[in-house]
Amino acid sequence: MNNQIFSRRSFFAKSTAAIGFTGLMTTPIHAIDRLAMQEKLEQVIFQNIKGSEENPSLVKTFVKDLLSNKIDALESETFINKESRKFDQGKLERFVVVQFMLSEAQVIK
Amino acid sequence: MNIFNIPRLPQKDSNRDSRKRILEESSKDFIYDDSAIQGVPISLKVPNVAKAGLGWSMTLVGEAYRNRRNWEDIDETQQYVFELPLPHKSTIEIATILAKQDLVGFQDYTSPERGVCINVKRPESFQTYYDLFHKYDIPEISLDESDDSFADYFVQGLNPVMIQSISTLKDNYNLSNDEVANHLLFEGDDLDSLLEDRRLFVVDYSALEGLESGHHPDQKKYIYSPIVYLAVDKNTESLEVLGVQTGQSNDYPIITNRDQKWDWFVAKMIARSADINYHEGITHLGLTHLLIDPVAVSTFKNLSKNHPLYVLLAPHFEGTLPINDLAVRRLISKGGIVEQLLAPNLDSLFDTISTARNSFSFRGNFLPKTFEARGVTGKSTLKNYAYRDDSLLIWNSIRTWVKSYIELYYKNEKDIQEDYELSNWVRDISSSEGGRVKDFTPKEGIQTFKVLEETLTMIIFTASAQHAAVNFPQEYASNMIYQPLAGYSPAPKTKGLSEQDVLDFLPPIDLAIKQLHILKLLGSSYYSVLGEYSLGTFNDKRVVPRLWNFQERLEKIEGKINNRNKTRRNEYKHLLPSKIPQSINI
Repeated sequence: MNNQIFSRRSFFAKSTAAIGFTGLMTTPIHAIDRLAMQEKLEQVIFQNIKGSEENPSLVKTFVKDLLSNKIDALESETFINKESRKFDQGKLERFVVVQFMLSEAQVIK
Repeated sequence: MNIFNIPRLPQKDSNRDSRKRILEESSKDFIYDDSAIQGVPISLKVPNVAKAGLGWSMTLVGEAYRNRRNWEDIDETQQYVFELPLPHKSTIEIATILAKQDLVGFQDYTSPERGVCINVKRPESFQTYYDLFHKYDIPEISLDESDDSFADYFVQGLNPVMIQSISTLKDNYNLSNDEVANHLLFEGDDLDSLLEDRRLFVVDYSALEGLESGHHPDQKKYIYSPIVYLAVDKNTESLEVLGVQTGQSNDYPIITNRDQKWDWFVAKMIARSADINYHEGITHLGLTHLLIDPVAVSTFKNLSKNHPLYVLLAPHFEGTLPINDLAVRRLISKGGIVEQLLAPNLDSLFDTISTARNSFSFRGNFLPKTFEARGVTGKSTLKNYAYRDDSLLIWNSIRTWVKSYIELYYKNEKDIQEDYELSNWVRDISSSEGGRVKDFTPKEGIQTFKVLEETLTMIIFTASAQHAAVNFPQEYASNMIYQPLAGYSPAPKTKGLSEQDVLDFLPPIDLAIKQLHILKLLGSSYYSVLGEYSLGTFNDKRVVPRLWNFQERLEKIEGKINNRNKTRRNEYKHLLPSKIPQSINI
């Protein structure tokens, strides 16, 4: 991913600080992963699709729906999980961009 | 509702002058061009009014994306080396292409030209072909090698418009009593009885004889012109295959299911290969895409936007000009995918398309007439003909809808005769400088309700159901073993073929991948549904109950076809109204 700010590592640093502050140390690890993933995918859209930053709630809803399987997506959850662990996340990014454009055009695949 | 938006006939429009001016201005954008496919007029460009909605381009994007991912998986898991690499594009480049709706650019990325495979010239097993399906399932129907399925192919397959009843055998037909008497289901039957009872049917690909074969850089291609013999069993009324004559002359043997496994396999494959060549050039491209394109052009050009027939027809042209434009630029250009994949060379193919398209009689091919001409109406001995039975339901429902619609605007036949935009439309579509559609109307043009109804029914049916019937089964042919788009070995004149011989008929790796990708794309891209018009299409509230009736009839047809499918030997789903797009848009 191009934007280092939202790398998994920096996210963890920020999340841990936040969790420490609010005392929610029992938050399950998969929920943290999911939040990180959500943020990561949102950033892919904001960075690549012109005008998307003007409608963050639309992007957030799309990503949430995508991660909770509410969208009959072009790729499976396994693909998303597998690609998100790779150093080169180009495939994941391209998928998210294509899927977002399809969803925006209300062509759910 | 704004009463000024209610469609009006030109002679009844109080704003006649401004209507004329606006039409003259917008019609300048529509120009016929017959240079892309020699002698066949299509729109030179895609003016804004003929562009499709965003949903259309994104439908194609979704399917094209799968092509790309399949390519990536092939590259990652198989050791093929192509002349050219898979092109890379950054995420932002992809996003930009999509934002611009640049379908050609996206296609260049998802289905790039990679040249031939350098390190593997010929697949060594069937599995090599199956291994190309990473992101796709192998169509189940394409794995069914039963004779039932093969016989049904001709009445509900890709090109279900060829089968005809015969009462005599042509001189080049080698069929004899042996093929009948030796067939398990026809014991006690004979050729004379079949002919006399009109229970013998043929699918004859003589139209392909004489076409010049194309070339792959590494090898020659072959085009086949077989004859398929089928007969109806008098006890069960089911259609059975008697055999396949592998070529037109008497030198070619008839291969039957009593011959060795690989002989029979090749005979069926040759028949399906010939069929898809005929289908792609004539039935599909020539007689749906290229027939409707000039009708769409002429509608945009000659009918004002508030002409009732413009309002009715325009939704049935959504995406037609854009997809034809994409096809001309990306698929059917010199050296493009069509020439690479199909058996004939492009000049030869274009000759055939042009002849078929320009000699096609529009009125002579109204759906019921086509069955009569081939001797396969519901009264014939061919009782199980899914395409016929389902398509007639759709045809009749479209006709009823059209009739109820036009009655709102044309109060009598004088209204039809005085509609000068309609006359210009007819003249333009029929003329040699315009659409070149033969027999578009009777000599006197459109003067009566009957002719107007028939003409509009034929247009809407061809743009919707007919195209759906011949487009979507292409997905099955993504399995290149089932239906190669070209042959790579000559049609056999002797029997005794081996498995290796079968492999020699099949395409090299590069073309196998292209066939898989393009046919999956074409056969899976569904956009819009027959009878579901976008909000705002009809501003005249009087249309609403009539449209509901149409939609209700389509819903009933859906149920009826689903019921029919319960008792059919093989299901036929391509004419379920829910699977029929409004227009030719893929």
